[in-house]
Amino acid sequence: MTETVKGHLIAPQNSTKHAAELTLGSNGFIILKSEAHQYQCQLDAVTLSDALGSMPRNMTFASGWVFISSDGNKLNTWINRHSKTPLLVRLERNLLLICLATVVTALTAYGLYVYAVPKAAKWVASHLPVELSRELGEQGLTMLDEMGFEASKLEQKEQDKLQLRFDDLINKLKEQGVEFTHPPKMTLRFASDGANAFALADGTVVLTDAMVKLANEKLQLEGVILHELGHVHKEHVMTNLVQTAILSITAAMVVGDSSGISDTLTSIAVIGGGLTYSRIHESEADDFAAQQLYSWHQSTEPLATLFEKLHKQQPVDLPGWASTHPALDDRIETLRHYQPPPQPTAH
Amino acid sequence: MTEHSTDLSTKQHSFNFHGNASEFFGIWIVNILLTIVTFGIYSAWAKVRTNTYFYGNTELDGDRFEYLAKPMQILIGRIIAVVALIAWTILSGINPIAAIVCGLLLALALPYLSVRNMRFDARITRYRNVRFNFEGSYSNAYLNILVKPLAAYALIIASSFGFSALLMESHPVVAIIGGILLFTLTAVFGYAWVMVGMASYVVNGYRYGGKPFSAELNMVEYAKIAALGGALFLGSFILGFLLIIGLGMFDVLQALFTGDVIDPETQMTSVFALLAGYLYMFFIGFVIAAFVKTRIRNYLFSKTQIDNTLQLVSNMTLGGYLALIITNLLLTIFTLGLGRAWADIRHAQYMASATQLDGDLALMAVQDHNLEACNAIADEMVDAFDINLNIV
Repeated sequence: MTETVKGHLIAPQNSTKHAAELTLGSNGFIILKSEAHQYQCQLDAVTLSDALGSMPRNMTFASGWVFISSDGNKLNTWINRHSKTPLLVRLERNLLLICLATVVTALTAYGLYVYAVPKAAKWVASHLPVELSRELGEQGLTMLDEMGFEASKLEQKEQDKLQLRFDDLINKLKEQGVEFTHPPKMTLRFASDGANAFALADGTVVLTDAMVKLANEKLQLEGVILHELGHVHKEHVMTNLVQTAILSITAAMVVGDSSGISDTLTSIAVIGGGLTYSRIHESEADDFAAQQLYSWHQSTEPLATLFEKLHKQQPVDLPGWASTHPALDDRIETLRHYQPPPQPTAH
Repeated sequence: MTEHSTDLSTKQHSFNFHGNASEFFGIWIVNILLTIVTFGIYSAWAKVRTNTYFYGNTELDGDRFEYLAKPMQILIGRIIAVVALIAWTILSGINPIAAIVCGLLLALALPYLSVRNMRFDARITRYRNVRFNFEGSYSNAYLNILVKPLAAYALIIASSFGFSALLMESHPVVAIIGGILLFTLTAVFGYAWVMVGMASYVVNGYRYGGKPFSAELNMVEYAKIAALGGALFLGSFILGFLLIIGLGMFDVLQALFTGDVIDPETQMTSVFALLAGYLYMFFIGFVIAAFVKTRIRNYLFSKTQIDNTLQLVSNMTLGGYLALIITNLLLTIFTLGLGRAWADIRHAQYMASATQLDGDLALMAVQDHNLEACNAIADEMVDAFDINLNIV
């Protein structure tokens, strides 16, 4: 049984069209008829365009002429009957595989986001040269000065006292075997914005005068310093930097562009991802502080009280998902319910 | 000339897109799966498969376009581009001086990369056995992509700020109002001048086989589009501001910026107001981007001819395009990204339906050129660094 398919021929390397007709034999034999060019051969002697979806396939003959069918379905059906459908095409049509691929993609995206990126960032951060974080820490301080932070207005005597307490704290931690890649330092600053404290890349802990005044009890101040030392201990600043870099690069590579929409979405995703990681870091630092406070004083209450005082000062609370820090209420709650990790029993 | 215009009006060929979403979803998700399983290596094959699908389903006068790039070409280009991007990101993060040097290097490389990218993209596109080509010169690329924009920036800043600085002492009011007017005027015409330069460089560099594309563009048209876009932005900004005052939200807004204490009652409303404000500005951004894109594409195509016998036509409408990109955005968000395949198909369908070619295609016998598309490095660099020249 033979079939015929109408269509047109295009000359090699030339855009001119010629009407043509293909006779398809049941044994895979092809006869091409056209005023411009005639040819006959077996199906395996022609080059077929790649099979992809239901796209009509073209035939390029050994002579370089290309036949394009005006009834793509008919030609495709005949070709499928006489040659094997490529594996890839069968996979792309397999409903089971498509479902599986969807699940795997979703799980992989989630896994990358939640486990792989933070892990990789931590590893990279701990392998970066120390000079880099030192440089970044100095830049951080310069930036603070440009943002309107001034030298501390506390009395020199009080500053010296604070410095001593900070050193005591560090020694205590070192005795317990807590290690720091960057030796922690403390510096005091005055800012008009109010109570604040943060850690820089090189292990510097910055406290504002207002924070020192707010944390008016010894253990409260210890709590806030421990929180910042938690950031230093876990190298959060550098990890964050690497995480953002990884996220932006991955996002840029994964999301191709079709109408500028993906650009917008990518930047939202990167910002959102950065915020999530930042909140995780805050919780880690809280946990670090809680652990030390609990083992020294059997209570995490001082830090919780300090957070409550901070909470009263804040004018507007952004919703949790849009903030760099977890909601203070939740942090206070977590601190109050802190349970120390079970200690290995010594024999 | 009259002969040509009768030629052009005799035949109209519309672009048709034959791809469909459910079929493409299978291709797309299997591409992603194989990319994951091969740790990214397959992404080069995935790109070729995706492009083959979109080119091959775009039909004009009974024939489909063809995508000719080879996966290995793409893979090599992609590896080089990723290494370059990582090195660039790390270097520019180290310190401010390194960042400036990195920025300068990228700016200097931009015209070169653009030329290589356009040439590659043109040579791997085939229609009726004839490939496209891009013949724009490097020197003109540097002139139009680097020198002119820099000159325009310099002119805008120097003229408006210079004027204000000169008169600030004697007539402060004249200085400020004049400065703003001068800034607006130079910005609009600077934009038009740069865009006309870039667009005519790109269009006039294209070839189909040996047949040249040509376009003579008028700066005034671009200036009009820029001025309207600016007016649209200003108008919506003022409207938004009036809405804030009208709804009595001004105090809350002020408190947000000054850091005053707001009682908890109004806290939630202020958060909502802030979110609504963001959404509004986001929407305005979309409207203006869509407006500028549709107007410029329609104008640019109306001036573009191939070998003086074929006329390109673009019939995009603001409403149609805006509806498309907003529904596509929602589609992508609410399917957590899985709707991307469908969104891409819808985009291709719309773009094809808004594009046509007038003139008798059959009359034009075009011979293919014998130039090879060398490597895909520039192509991948432009993708990785996201530095596409957007002339439409």
